[in-house]
Amino acid sequence: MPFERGHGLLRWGGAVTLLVLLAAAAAPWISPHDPRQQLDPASARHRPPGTRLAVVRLADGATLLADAVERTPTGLRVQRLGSWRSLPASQVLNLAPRGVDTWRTYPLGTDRYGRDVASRLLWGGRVSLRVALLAVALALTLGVLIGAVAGLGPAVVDAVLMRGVDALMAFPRLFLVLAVAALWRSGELAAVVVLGGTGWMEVARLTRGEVLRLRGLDFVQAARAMGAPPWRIAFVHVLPLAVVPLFAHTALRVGDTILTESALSFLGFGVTPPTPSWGNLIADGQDVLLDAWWVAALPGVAIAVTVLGFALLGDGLRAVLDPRSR
Amino acid sequence: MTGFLLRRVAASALLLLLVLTATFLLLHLAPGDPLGLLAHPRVPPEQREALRQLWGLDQPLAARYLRWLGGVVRGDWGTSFLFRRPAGAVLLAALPNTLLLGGAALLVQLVVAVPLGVAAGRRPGSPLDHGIRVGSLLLYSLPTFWVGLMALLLFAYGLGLFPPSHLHGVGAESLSPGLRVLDLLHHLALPALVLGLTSAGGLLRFVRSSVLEAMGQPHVLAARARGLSERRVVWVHGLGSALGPLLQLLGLSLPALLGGALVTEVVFSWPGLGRLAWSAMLARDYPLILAVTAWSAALVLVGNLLADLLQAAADPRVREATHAV
Repeated sequence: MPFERGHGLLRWGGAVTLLVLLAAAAAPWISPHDPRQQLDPASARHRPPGTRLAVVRLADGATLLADAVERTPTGLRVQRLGSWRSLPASQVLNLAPRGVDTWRTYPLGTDRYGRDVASRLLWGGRVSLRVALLAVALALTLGVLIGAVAGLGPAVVDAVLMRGVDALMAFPRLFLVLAVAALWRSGELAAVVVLGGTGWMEVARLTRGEVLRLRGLDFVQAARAMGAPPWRIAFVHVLPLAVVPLFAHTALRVGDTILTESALSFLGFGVTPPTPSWGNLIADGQDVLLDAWWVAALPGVAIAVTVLGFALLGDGLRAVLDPRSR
Repeated sequence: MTGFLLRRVAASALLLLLVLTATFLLLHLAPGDPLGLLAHPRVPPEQREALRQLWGLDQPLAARYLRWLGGVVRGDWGTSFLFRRPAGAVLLAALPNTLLLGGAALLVQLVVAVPLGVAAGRRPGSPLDHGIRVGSLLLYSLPTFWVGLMALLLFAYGLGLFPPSHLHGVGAESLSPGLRVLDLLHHLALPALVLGLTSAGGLLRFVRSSVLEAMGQPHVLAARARGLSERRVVWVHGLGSALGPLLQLLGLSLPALLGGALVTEVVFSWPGLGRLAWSAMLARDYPLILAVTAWSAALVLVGNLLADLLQAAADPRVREATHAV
């Protein structure tokens, strides 16, 4: 029964995370539009999800987005910014029998510059996921190394390292992350370093605990008795097994890092515009909450779905890999 | 008990010193300096130099550190570059607001997590249990600041049930004390609910698993065998043994709660420590950043200390089996 539940969680979590990761990876191909393109911002700004606008290409090179177009004997009547106006046929490049030949759909609406929210969501997800995954990779590397040194090294080193871990964990992480990001640098790489550099403590603790447990076991004693050098015991006998409990933790860690990154970018540090990330997309929408709720609302849904996916995956992995946790 | 208390206080003080030193180094080794942001580019070099001397930025790092630490010990946090007032005073004005918000959020957390966790833990595998488990994961997955914005949109701007920001409404000074408190609670409700609900997930899961575990234990079986009412068995004997770890968990979740308070304060323009930290960081206000980060760490440590003490009071085994830190 518990086994079954673990697999159910694993399936759901795996499916959601896979879907999100695929969507982010495929952003260049599946985005409806260019996430940075500001096409006729005056007319396209703050359009609700599902808006479809007529694309009117003018002879002078400009492009207009119109709510409606009507073919007239002499040219085109265009409804834009609340009023109708007539354009002679010579000025319109893409005239068609029923108006114009091109339409543009915004499945999830537009922001204040008339940019497509769906495309920005996909590209922003790419950035947010990349930052989170790289940061977790960094945190895992640091945490496993520090945890291994603490667990295998002399007792003094262990005590010093673990007190350091205590000190860092007593610190409200967001304050620390903000302080570093604000004073040192912002940007994608900086966000990775800051989030990775402040996210390893739990990993170190888990690794150390597991290393301490393993190194007392018979097979490690046997290896030592047979004269295996310390590095061999560490890398061949202890560490490969010590990282098993980290799998579940890693999935949870990714979700947690996405949440922290979004908060950091929301506050104006971390990933900064023009690079879209889910956090700064929400910050964008904050100012126009009343005019265009979808700008702030939809990235939040994306974050919640992704984090939930990773949380389910982590829970499922724990249930399957560790039978002791009911 | 006194020995236990002393050891814990000493360990906390040492940790605080470590945190303070780390923050100081982090700030003072950062590239660039606050003069670049605060002084106008046309300020002549000699005045710039005078400002540096005034703020002590011209001295070597070790001297700056010792001078700063000496001030801190006397309760002097330096002058805030941004507010041109003592950083300690600026901070103390914001502290009660954060305590109020954090305390209210903690209350919301407990009120939500304990009954639901008990209900789920009593009937593992039931539809209710599954619903609550998924619900707790969902609560954990929601970004606090986003929930805040959505709550603003729906309940403050949309339905007009709650005021959108600040501690008090316009003209609150002229209200009677009783009405002033009501006005404050009205302003507090939305941010406290947002912060409390989004941080309730972990606690909910914890209560569920402790109750689940306790229900199979001999003392609970014995209580049931003695014919105690089911309510008493669950709430007193089942939940009772989880009280110690529960307090510890609350202590450990304080850093996350403060982080959540930071974004909540920014979203709701709540004049607390978090919002202060945010403005200080935007302005590179070194003394204020140091003061705020130190105080937030101190809050966490004091919270953990309190949790430990309560735990020790509740469970004699904790008192006996202590190890330093």
